[in-house]
Amino acid sequence: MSSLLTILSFSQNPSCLVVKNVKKSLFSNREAKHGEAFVLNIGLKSKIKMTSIPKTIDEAFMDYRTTYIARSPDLSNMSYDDELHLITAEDGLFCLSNPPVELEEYARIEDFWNTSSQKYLWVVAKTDVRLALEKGENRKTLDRGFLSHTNLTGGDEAHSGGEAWFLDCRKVVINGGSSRYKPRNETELDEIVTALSESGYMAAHLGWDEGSGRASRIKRGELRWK
Amino acid sequence: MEMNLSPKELDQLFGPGESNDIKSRAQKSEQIFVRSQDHLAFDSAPATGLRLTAWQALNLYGLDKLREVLNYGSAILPICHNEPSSTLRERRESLGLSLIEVAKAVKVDEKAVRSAEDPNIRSPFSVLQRIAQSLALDEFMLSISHGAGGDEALAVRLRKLGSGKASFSPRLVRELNEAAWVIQQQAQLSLSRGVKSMTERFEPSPNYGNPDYPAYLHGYYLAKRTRDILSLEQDPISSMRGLLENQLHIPVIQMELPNSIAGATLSSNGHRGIVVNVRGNNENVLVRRSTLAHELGHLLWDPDQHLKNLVVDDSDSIERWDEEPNSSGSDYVEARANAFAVEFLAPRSVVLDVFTSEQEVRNGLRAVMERFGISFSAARFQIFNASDRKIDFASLQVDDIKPSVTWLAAEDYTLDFFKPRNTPISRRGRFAYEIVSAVKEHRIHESVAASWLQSSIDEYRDAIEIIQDLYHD
Repeated sequence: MSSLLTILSFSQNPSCLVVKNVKKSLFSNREAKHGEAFVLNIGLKSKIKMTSIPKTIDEAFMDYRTTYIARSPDLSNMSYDDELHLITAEDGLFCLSNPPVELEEYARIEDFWNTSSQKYLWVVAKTDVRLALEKGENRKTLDRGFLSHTNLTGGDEAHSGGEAWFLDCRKVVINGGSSRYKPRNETELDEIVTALSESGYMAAHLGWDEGSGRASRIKRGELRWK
Repeated sequence: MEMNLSPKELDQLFGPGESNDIKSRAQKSEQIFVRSQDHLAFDSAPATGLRLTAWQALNLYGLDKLREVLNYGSAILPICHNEPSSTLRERRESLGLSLIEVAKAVKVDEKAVRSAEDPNIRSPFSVLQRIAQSLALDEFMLSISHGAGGDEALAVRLRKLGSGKASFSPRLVRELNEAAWVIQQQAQLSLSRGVKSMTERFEPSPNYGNPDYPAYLHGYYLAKRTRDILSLEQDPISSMRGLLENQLHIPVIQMELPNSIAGATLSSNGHRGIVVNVRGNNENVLVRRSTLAHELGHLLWDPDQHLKNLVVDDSDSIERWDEEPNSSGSDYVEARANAFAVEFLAPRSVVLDVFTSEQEVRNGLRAVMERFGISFSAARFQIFNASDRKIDFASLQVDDIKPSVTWLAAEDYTLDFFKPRNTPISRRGRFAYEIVSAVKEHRIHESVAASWLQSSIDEYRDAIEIIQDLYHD
């Protein structure tokens, strides 16, 4: 039976395998579509949840972008003109692609949210998902000394933004820590994590803090990985 | 305080204004912040946390955190993943209280207290706030500081007393924690508007007498010194509560304690205050005045090594002038405080004149009680002592030992007329007035005021006038 399945990756949960080239008959004569999830009864006692080939980033975020429309940044807290300066790939800006994402360093410590060295800013822009390390040597030329979310967009409209930590090349944790492109509610964060998951990442967000009426920027409790 | 905000940042944080002075901009600001267990943010309608004025947010969390709010929409408050849970658990344990006992004090279920002590759970800040208060912690310091401003020496003292004395129940430990919290907050509110307790003018005295100079004689001396320092001459003290709260700026916390307890003197983080039971013998305001004077003797004159953060006085130790102290050190401390109390309320040098101004002994005794606002037993012993014990003690009797309406009104004023009605009596003292003043000056937000007075914001607003009428500067 295993010869029918080409295992792409194991998640933390061993019953969840990412596979391709699945024998057509196992899906009741249906072709697996990109990103479609199946629970496959392979004739053994256990069931195997399978995910087909990940969606592209563009495909994965399509539904999200439709539901949560792009907005102009909230510039009421902007202090310096160069916060609208669009950085480039030379400055470390990159567009998210399907995993693996190759980075020099990954966030490894328990309280990753309390560190800044491996913290990325993310923005779901109108056509791509952009990331860049918030701090570093070349950020010191900026007036405030570190990136603003509008440096990832040049001040253009975007859907939402926040902070991100890659724990390895496929595992990413995000929050909604952005004053410019503030996520509107917890469901919006859920949908972004779903899109990341459908594009092949194991993703989680840090939840919502009812007390401050904003996305949580720190971890409390177990993360709900997708 | 770092002074490098651009005019634009000042506007963003505090609203439009002219001055570049951060402090004055924050003081005048109408900007409201909100804090939860984990974050500080600008106020928004959906936020369920505690509202803070800009002045509070700046003072409590500093400029860096306010800047973080500008940059990310919220600022992270906890110094590590284990805060505030570890502070709450350690404090509860160091006080020797169970989860259930804290839950009872806070009127939540045990699960809510357990959750607050779990670093993996984010609790509503209103629950954390009430738990912190019940443990005499500074709720604003939760998450940002391990220990949250609790006085560890006081906690140790309370636990020791709690495990040593049968009368010292977990309920009493909880009540004294509440008192410690009120004392600390009241002192800080007074200080934030530049009002200091006058106790700094008194140098504690380690003299508890010797065989040739009994402790009570030194108590008399200290009473005279106190009157001299306060320029009271020989006049009666028209209101002990008024004197303590309005003139000396000493927090006085009224509580309903077990009848066996008269009062206590308590120090929390260096702020000293007085706890007075309004039940038991102290239901008679004349006895209560003696208790207040007795505790004042401890508060002003006992050095820290005798006060040890807390002295709790049993009802039967107040107004006991007929016994010489035994060899126990603490009895000398109490004998001195008792002598201080009666001499402070009714100086012997004038007591005899008042007594002899009446023909009848009964009338003379009653005149002393009425003039100085002291109880029958206090008046009796003070007349006896003032006469160098020449008057027949047994003959000193009176028909009526009840206080007059004048003394009732002078000492009981906030218990009957206070609003909001749900405010516990421990918070009906000058603390309430300090709260109203702080709201008026933007030092605290009215939602903090309402939560401290355990009322809704509407009830708080309704009560402002009454509270202001009860006190003055």
